[in-house]
Amino acid sequence: MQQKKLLIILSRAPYGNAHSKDALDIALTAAAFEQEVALLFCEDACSILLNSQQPEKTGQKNLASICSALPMYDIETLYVEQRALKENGINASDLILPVLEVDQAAIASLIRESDIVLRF
Amino acid sequence: MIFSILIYGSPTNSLSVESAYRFTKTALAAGHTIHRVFFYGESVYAASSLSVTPRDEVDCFQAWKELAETHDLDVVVCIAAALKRGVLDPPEAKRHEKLAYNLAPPFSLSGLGQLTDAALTSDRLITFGSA
Repeated sequence: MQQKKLLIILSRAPYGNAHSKDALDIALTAAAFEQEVALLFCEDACSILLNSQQPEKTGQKNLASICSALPMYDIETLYVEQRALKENGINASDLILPVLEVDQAAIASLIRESDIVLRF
Repeated sequence: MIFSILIYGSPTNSLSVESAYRFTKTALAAGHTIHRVFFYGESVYAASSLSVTPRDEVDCFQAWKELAETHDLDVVVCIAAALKRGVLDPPEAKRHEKLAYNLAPPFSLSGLGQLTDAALTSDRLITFGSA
């Protein structure tokens, strides 16, 4: 099968809307179709990866748990906007998976090197 | 150039469905190919034949229906997004024992695999999202 590099950018806080879940569903499907998928968590989306969250208490599916399954789909690298972590007061050690912190220049390269970029 | 279109904004609370329509129409007029239009998230409401639009507003359903029929476009509505929003074709209405259906050709229900295929097959995948 033909393979393309997909970059999926999440930029919104989880649970207030369906965008983050919808983006993850696309990532998992594309990975199941053996595409090279990278995920970038920007702005408020970095809180999706917090390991201490308990969205089940409000009847929501835990997006961090979904993210913890990403390596099983061969989505190995999770990129997180460095500035977003800082602005939200989040340490990389608070996250459910190891991530690669990227600055704005690295984000620009990521976008440039991808065949397809989807933003949610 | 071969384009595919991903729409995920609401037809009633964002301009994404309408902007995607204008883009698609213009791309076709300029001689480009539209491989597929994929309705995702809130945009699936645009495929409901039961919406009644005020006369002085843009009827997204009618606009897309006519454009798709004229150009024989593959207009796919994400089945998971559609079912939970009550956008059903006759087989799904029957399967889930619902009283009515509101999705018919040229629109069709299918899965996210169709979006992946569109990304692979097209030169460009253009997203029309929402705030």
